[in-house]
Amino acid sequence: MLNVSEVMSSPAITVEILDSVSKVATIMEKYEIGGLPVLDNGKLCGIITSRDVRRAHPNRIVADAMCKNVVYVYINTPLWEAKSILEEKKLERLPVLDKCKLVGVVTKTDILVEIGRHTDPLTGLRTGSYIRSLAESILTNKNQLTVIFFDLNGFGIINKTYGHVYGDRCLKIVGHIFAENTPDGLYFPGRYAGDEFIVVTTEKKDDAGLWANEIIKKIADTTKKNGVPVTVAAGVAGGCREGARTEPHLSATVDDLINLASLASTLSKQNCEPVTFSS
Amino acid sequence: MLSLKSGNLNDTGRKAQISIILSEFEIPPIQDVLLIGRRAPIGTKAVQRMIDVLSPEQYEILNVNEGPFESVVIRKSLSRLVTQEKLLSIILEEGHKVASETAVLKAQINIVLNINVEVDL
Repeated sequence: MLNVSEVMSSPAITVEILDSVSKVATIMEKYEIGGLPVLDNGKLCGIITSRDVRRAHPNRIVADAMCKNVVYVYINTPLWEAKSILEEKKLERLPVLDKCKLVGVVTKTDILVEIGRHTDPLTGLRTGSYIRSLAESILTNKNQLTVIFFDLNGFGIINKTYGHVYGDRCLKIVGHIFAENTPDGLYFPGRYAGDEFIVVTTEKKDDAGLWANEIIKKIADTTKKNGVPVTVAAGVAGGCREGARTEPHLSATVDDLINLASLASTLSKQNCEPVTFSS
Repeated sequence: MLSLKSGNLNDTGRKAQISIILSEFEIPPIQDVLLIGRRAPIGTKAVQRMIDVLSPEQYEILNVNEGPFESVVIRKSLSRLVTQEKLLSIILEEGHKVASETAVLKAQINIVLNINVEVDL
């Protein structure tokens, strides 16, 4: 999973608690930085921003101008979680710690640019490649992995009958349903390609199948209210691991599971079933 | 005060006048009370470090949430004569009348206790 260590600036430019505010202003101007972590004997104790500098007398020491309640993240914090913290606290940057040691700084811009690269612009869901890398990290952590592959039925006909703008609207609705119905930390949805969606989860396959059925019903109900009902065929693969085991080829295992789920969704389509489990 | 004129050192060139004022450095330099403005050139943490070095354990720093001052430094011995709350409210009230956020004010406080005791003869 993408985390802050991949986009942070490292090493961080810092100031000491006894430095003057005027020195901070000089450093900010030199490096064109709007905020600097403050260290006291090597430990993070605050953050000073350009706003703090503007409001304080230049003769003051940093300890008398900085914000003491510094919000920070750890090196393995997922990018999406860091983004939520920045938005919730209305911050522009976060110091990054490895245990107790400051190792970098990540800004809102760094995070938004990276997230943008892994976000499908139409649905707002994560891209298929991101979900694939997420599946690998689930296996790396020796967790249960179930892959659910969703394929919209007859979507080409919808596009041809009602136009591509209407088709895009349907895809947006479907994306919204996925986003709104994925419990945090359990189900991770993404747009795989065209009218195909992929979801990976740490739940077992039976639970994943029940969840997929619910989603398919919601998609049918919601799209019906908005015009033309869209039906979906889903395939479920994996999710039957008993205890931890070592995966020698994580990437190949993920490829296999996606492939099996995709083939199972084709069977669902052929048999007019909502969900089929890969054998 | 000691004053030295250097008029005879150079008759034709530029002249300089040196004036020296010698006086005793007050320990502690902040007397009884120090009021620190929110935008003063020196802040609470810097003052804290100063008093820790110059007059350890003699002063107490009280943070103020509202008004032009961010904190008040009070000599601990004063709090034994008058409660801290009473002293602080009087100091802040008077300080507000004369100071701004950029000021650092020092104040000398004299407290005289008048005690009348009646005893049976």
